[in-house]
Amino acid sequence: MTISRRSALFGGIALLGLAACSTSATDSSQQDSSAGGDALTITGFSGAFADQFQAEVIDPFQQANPGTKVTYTPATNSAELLAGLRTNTGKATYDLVIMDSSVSTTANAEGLFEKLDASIVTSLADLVDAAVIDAGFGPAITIDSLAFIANPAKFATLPSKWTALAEAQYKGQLALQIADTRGIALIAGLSKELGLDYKTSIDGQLAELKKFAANTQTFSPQPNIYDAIRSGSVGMGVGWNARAQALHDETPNELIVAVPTGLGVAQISTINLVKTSTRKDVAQKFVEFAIGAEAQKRLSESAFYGSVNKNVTVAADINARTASTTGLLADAAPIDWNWIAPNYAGWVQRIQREVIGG
Amino acid sequence: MAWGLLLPGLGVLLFAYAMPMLWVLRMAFNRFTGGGGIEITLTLDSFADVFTDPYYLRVALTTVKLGLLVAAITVLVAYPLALFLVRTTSKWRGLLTILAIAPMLVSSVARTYGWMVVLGNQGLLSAVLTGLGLTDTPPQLANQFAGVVIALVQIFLPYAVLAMTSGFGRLDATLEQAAASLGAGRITRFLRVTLPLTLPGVLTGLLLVFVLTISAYVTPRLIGGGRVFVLASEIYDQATNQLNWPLAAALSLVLVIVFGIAVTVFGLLQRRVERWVSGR
Repeated sequence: MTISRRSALFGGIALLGLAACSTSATDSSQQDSSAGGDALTITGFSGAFADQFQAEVIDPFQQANPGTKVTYTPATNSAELLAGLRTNTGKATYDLVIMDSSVSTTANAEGLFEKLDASIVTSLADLVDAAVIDAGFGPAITIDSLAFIANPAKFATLPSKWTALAEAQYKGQLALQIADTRGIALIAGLSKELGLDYKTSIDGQLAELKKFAANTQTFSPQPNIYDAIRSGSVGMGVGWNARAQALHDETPNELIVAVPTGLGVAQISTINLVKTSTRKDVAQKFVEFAIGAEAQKRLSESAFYGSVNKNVTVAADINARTASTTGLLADAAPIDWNWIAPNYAGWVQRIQREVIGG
Repeated sequence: MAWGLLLPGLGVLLFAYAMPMLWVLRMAFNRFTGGGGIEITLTLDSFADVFTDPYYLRVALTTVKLGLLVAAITVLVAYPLALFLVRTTSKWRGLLTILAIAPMLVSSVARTYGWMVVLGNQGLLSAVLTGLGLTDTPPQLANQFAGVVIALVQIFLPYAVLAMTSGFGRLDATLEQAAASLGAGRITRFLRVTLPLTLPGVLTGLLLVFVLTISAYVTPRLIGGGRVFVLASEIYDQATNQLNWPLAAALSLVLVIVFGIAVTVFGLLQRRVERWVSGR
């Protein structure tokens, strides 16, 4: 087969044309975003959180600020967000990033995020203690807790302590996704229950997790722990309270949830200002709105997150189902995510090797 | 002109493979400082971890074991199918070939979820076995190594069939007829004529399935129940969960080395088989 010069020339011109179109499109989008104005881009968790955040925070913010267009782009997890920040240190792709506090402290230390201006984000003064992660940097946007979740057809009642997961009744019925933040939180919960100090050693906590492993059917429930339990393929597991509470309201006969009294473990997500953002004023205005009493009340009432704002009060029945210091996190297991951050990888590795692989 | 034809492919390889691989190579020499931190430096720390830690040796061996097992079973299952498709003179041959490779039209993720439904403890297999009264406690195949093998064999079967049918080009029916006319029985004909002539195709199928298996992430992850540790899942965990990018990069390079060894070994075998078949 031979290709004529004319064909080759035509092909070359076509490729150049495509390249030119692509360059022109890129330039155009860059112009749009660099035009600034009242456009704001936010990235954070996907799934139910994205839907709730859109409905309870972004939409009301846009209604209150009609000139501002907020675009929310979901990401798979905090690691993906950190990767994006590290590889886009020049022009900012996003103005605000929502991620796990254990990862945001790393991003703060690497200079990827910037401290907030307290004169714009005045609600920083109204934060509950747990919501202040790295003084001056992005505060908590949601507070959640580790919880037991179960299929009521298999287990009508939920245990009152974490160590109950070693009981024989759960043999082959457990789903434990613990090679991640849930495992770290479970170690903190076990520490309080067993009277151990995780800052000294986690040997005792891992020994307990090994007992749970003997009852575990899967360490990677699919498509996720909540649906695995709702479908009945497993009967019991640990997950996050807020999502489980919302799912319980949707399907009360398929999923029940409880945080063991005095053994809740706080999990915190932060909202952070990207250092290279070109719209820092409007971004901080959004943070002020998001951690303000109005938005936090809505997040508590509809999505069961504990409020980060101490001025929020919700009905007693809602408070009893949210990870607030007067609700499920009353007398909670202490957890220092800043201290854990540098130890996180080592702990996950030990869980993977000694508990799951052991 | 001939070199010109290579340019588009080389360009794509450069941008889509060589450049990311160079980035991965560079990342492997950085130092992980805990908490997701990375120190930009030149150190062999991550390689030392990979080559001195028995855990990673175990993961690498599990990966190779899975690759060999799936490749062997898949080729055994695909061989008669491919042989039939090459030999048949039926007018339905085209349709049968399409049917054999049709599963490739469905995403491997969807097929993996299908296997989870079949192999799960409330799944089809469990229901059939208990329904027939064969057992009260059906075998636990989901969330186990065995389930991963079963699913991967089915998922890669069409690839093996395709590779083998295209590799069975040397098979000439007249040679088998000649052997028969000289008194060779069916088994002798198969062992002395058919098998040697189809071995190059078998090796191609083995290599293809082995390489696809050792780089598989979705199926071991979904069906393994978090218990089946292979290099691909370990790389994912290190990169996205423990945020240890240098170690993830070093493990990625180990996977590339395993690829390289596999391709070299299969290439040597292929040449030896070619020489044996052609009697040189």
